[in-house]
Amino acid sequence: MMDRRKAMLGLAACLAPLAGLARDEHDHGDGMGWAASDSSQLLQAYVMPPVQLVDQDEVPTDLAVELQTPGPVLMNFIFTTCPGICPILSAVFAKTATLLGHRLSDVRLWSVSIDPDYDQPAQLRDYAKAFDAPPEWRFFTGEKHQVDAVRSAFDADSDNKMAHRALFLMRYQGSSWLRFEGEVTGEQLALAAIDALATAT
Amino acid sequence: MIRWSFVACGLLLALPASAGSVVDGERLYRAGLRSGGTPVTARVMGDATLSGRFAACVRCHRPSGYGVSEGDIRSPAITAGVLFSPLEPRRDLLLRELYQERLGPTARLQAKTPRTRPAYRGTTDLARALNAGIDPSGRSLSPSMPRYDLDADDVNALHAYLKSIGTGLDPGVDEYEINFATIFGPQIPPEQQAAMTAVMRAFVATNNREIRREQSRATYSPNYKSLYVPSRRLWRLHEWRLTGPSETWAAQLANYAQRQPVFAALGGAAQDWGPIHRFCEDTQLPCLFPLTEWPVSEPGHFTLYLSRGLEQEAQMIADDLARSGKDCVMQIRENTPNSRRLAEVFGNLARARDLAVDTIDLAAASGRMSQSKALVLWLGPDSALQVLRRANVKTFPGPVFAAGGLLADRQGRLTLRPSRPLLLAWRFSRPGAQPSRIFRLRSWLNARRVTARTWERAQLNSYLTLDITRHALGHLVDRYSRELFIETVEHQAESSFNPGTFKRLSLGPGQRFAAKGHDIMLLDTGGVLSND
Repeated sequence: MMDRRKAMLGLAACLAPLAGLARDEHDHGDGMGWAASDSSQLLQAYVMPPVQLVDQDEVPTDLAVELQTPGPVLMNFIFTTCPGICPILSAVFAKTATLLGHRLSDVRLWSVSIDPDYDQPAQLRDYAKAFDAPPEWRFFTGEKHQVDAVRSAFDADSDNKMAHRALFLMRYQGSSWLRFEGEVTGEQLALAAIDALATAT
Repeated sequence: MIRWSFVACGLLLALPASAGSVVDGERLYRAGLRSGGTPVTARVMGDATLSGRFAACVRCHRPSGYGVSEGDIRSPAITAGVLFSPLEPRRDLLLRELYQERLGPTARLQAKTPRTRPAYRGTTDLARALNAGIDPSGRSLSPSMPRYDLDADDVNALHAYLKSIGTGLDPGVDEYEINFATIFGPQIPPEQQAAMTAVMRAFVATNNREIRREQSRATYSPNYKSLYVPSRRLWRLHEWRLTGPSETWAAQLANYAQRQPVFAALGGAAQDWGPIHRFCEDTQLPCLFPLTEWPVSEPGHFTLYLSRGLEQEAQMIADDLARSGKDCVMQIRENTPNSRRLAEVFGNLARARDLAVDTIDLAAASGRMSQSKALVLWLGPDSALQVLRRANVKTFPGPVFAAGGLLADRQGRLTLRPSRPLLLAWRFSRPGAQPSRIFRLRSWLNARRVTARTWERAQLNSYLTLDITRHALGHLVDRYSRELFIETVEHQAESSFNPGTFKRLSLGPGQRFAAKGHDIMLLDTGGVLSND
């Protein structure tokens, strides 16, 4: 596991200039914290499986089809009754959306529920409202096997939803995705999305 | 930042300590509301904002205060005993965390790094941690710990509340034993009660034998077991049998609990769990997986059910009709308590979805049905067969729905061969789809001579309840908190030992019905159930 982590951190160092990232001065990584309190980034190729999910407004959506439209897509995995980690992941998405400002209209944010048995569109609507989600930020649920297919396609599966990890993905171009793990800030994600927009034009 | 927080601390010290009450502290902890009722706000992960219920302490540190591990985020215990004492690594808890909890690589690394800190001394230390994110050793807390902007009253109130949580063993536990109850309502057949208690007694006997074996070799420590010997308790299971009308059950339960307090109620069965549910909620008694067709549908906190019961079937059918636009429906009921109650519940659900419902009794079900776009049968297999033979039903053009819970036998099998296909609201695993582990469980039951095939499903569910309890107690170690017990079950249900009675089991914070994967299924004329 440590080898993998080292490899990821190494890759992150290579990728940092690509995404134009600077370490956030306010992230309390003041040298007194844990050695591993940074975040890691990895550029990976992922293929979205062709599954039919439904969003918080009950609009059926095939994410693979949606991805045919170019442009950065930020994605995370959450569930509405999740105790600690998901509100943080969602707060980071909310911050990302705010930071993107007028550029948000060219970026899509997707939060996929990993508890589709419980999270129906109504639950997702309440959750979206609690985070003041703009229209560009959509929440998805579906049949469990379909959600599982998405999770495993992005190496984000676990046999218990309570063991899921703090993970963000950003479709950079085509099927190239940036994978963010660890203590990721809204600023990092916003900068990465802006960089992807700049590369595309 | 540090200088600022020292100023804040100075201000705090100048205020009277009585400014915040435990009640205000609890509201802040559980709901994220300040004394004036305004939601708290906080910064997290550097620049993101959380507020209200999402910024409440309870979200991460849980109702018990013992915290939670999720992937790479570890929210530590903040109970009185932990927060207001110096932090010294405990080997037993560390080993449990490393080998039993699900940690991501970063959290695993953190857990392995020994860390100490002095005790939090009063509100000053607490304010610095909450507002500036600095602990009493001067270290920064993780960026996932929100940074609040709380005033002195808020901090005082929270301090008072934190002083009150996790201060001792919850009721039902003493130095040697942990007491449990299993509760039976008067309408549960004696054979079913005997079949269920036989499994539970056998499980407790086996479990206690293992505990005694460990205690007898306390100094010999294979796999670090000796670390846990002091925290182990022998189980004692009490059987609480209720009699008479349900209005008297609360008094009977209170009487039982007064004679012998229990840590939790496990399994058991009653036709209507409502009065027992209310007793458990009122007395904050965890009540795990009772078998009932009529749980309380509005989720409580202390009562966790396997299934939502027959009401869920009514809801599934109402939802399906509303989705497909079949706004006029006829329901046929018979003179049994379940059928009559289903018809009533369905009537209410349907009306809430703007569906017109015509209710008729089995005896009168020969009238015309031309207006109805769907037919719902709240009938057992014999009555269903009888109705399906009637000419008006045979030729009825719309779909015919029925309740799986009324048609299946005690073993979850369907014996009905309907003359036309039926759409069944189905909550259980598919008949015949048995996981391989069921063979192991059957041999466990056989070896203990407690097998009762007619009641196998009730027996398997009883086994599941005790198995998940045993696992949860393993996580608790010596932290005998009822809230922590519930939180651990919420965590574990998804990866628990599902005996195959339900398709999937999973819970989460606040989720109170574990069985998932229900569906409207098609029962064909050959009696085979398949996805619609």
